[in-house]
Amino acid sequence: MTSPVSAWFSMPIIVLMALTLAVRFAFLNTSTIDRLTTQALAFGWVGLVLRERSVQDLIGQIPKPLGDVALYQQLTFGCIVMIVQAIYGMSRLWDGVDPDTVRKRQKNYYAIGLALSAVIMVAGTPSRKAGQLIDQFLGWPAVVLWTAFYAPILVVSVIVARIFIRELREPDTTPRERALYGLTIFIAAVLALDGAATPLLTVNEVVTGSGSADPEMHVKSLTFFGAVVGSMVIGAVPVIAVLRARLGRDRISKNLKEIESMWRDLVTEFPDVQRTDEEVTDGPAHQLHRKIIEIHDALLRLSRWNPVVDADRAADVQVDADGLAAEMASAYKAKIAGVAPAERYELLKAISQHSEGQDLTAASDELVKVAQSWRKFRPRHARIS
Amino acid sequence: MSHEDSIRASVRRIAEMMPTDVPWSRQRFIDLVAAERDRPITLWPVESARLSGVGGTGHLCGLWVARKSDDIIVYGSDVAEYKADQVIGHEVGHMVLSHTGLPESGHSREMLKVLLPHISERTIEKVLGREDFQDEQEKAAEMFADHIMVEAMNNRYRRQSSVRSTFFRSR
Repeated sequence: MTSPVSAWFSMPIIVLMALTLAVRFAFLNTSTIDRLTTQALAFGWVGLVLRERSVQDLIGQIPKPLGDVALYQQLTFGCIVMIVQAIYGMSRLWDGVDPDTVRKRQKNYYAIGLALSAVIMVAGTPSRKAGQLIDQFLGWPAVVLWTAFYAPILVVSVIVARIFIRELREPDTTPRERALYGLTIFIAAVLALDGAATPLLTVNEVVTGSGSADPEMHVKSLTFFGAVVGSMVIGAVPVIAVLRARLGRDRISKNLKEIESMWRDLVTEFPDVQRTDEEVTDGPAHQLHRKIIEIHDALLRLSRWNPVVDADRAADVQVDADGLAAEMASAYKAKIAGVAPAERYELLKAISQHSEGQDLTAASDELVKVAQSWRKFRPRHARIS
Repeated sequence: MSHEDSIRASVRRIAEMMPTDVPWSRQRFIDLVAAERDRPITLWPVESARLSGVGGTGHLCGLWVARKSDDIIVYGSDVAEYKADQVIGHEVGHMVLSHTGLPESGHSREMLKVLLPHISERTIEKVLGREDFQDEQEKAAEMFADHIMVEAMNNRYRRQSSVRSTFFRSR
């Protein structure tokens, strides 16, 4: 079976998939689920490559039996079965099975995949010997081959669709997650239908002697290509996140940079807010958290230079980032000018104003807005640490 | 095991006890620590200005008041929720790490009466606060708070899901 997709389209995808795999092997291959995802994509990549016409032409130049193109074509069925076995292991993890248990059992899942691949190769032997594709040769060997091939696909597709439908129904699923889960459910549904229908249609074709409706197996090839490309897109999502984080382009890293100058101004005035026992080296999330807390602590201290001017002023009026930064700058100027702390002061609104953002990124998003305004209001003669 | 490793282990132990099928919540966290210590914990919100008046430096923003049979955590209720959670996490750090109160810590018993008029001074066994990070106990409690907050606010703020963490990760 040769890919009917033009090399102009398939080759960039093969290269992109190789890059995705390289990044996964380098940065995203420590947990059981990550390793299984990488393995599934690697099997898919090998299958895609073996189905390329140019690759098959190259194989054809090697003397047989190594240069038996039909053998490699049928080996790609084994690649698909192994993808499915890897995804089955992933589905066990998604269903809450302990990773250690899955890691041990995965060898069994792969052994089953190899056994099914052996059945496929044995059942495909008559068609290879006849120099035909399995759907051209047809007969009961084709029924055996497609049953061995599609049974795991059907089972795993149904399991994956069930898990992702369950996840899609959770109330806290984000639009981005819904899009990814929807794509996964679509691919699983198509494969489940294909897995249920193909063996039955093959039986019908054999019993009635009608012959295959698609002897060149273009539909099966396209289905495989689409499923592997879809899986690559799904598997590339965490790769993109890892690359963004590595390049400092993720939200946490960007927010960390944005609040840096405001944090520095504040801790220069209030160095006691810093944890001095050690440098925070636990990654950007810890660093961002620590900077948020140190800004908050410094704002509490700076509030003593924010005298009560109008006790009757409505305290619950929401102030925008410019207003918050201007109030901070006023207190800051008083502090660096050596003005004594006020007897009666009120908390700066940057620390006291009701905030919707309670998680790390949301809380830092709000501080980023203040930090951007702070650059406008920051006293020019602020001390430099 | 190093000092930092033991703090991380305490954070892991508490975090692992938190349910994973629901988002992290302050009260659920406190209830869990209370159940683990087999002592009730009361959260007592006050105005930050009143709280800072209790400490020696004017910077006090949280207190753990340990009594014979229960614990009280006093925190500023007029600051950002994120900040309040860190202060509460710091006081829980003192509890979980079995810190001892310092007699020279400067927390005025008289001022405590103003903050907590409903409790008898005689029932107080020890008081620890969050003010600065000069001594070892304060550093350790703050480190505990940092780790538990990142776990809560970055990793556990939403329902945990193995499907989600396969594709979308926060770190």
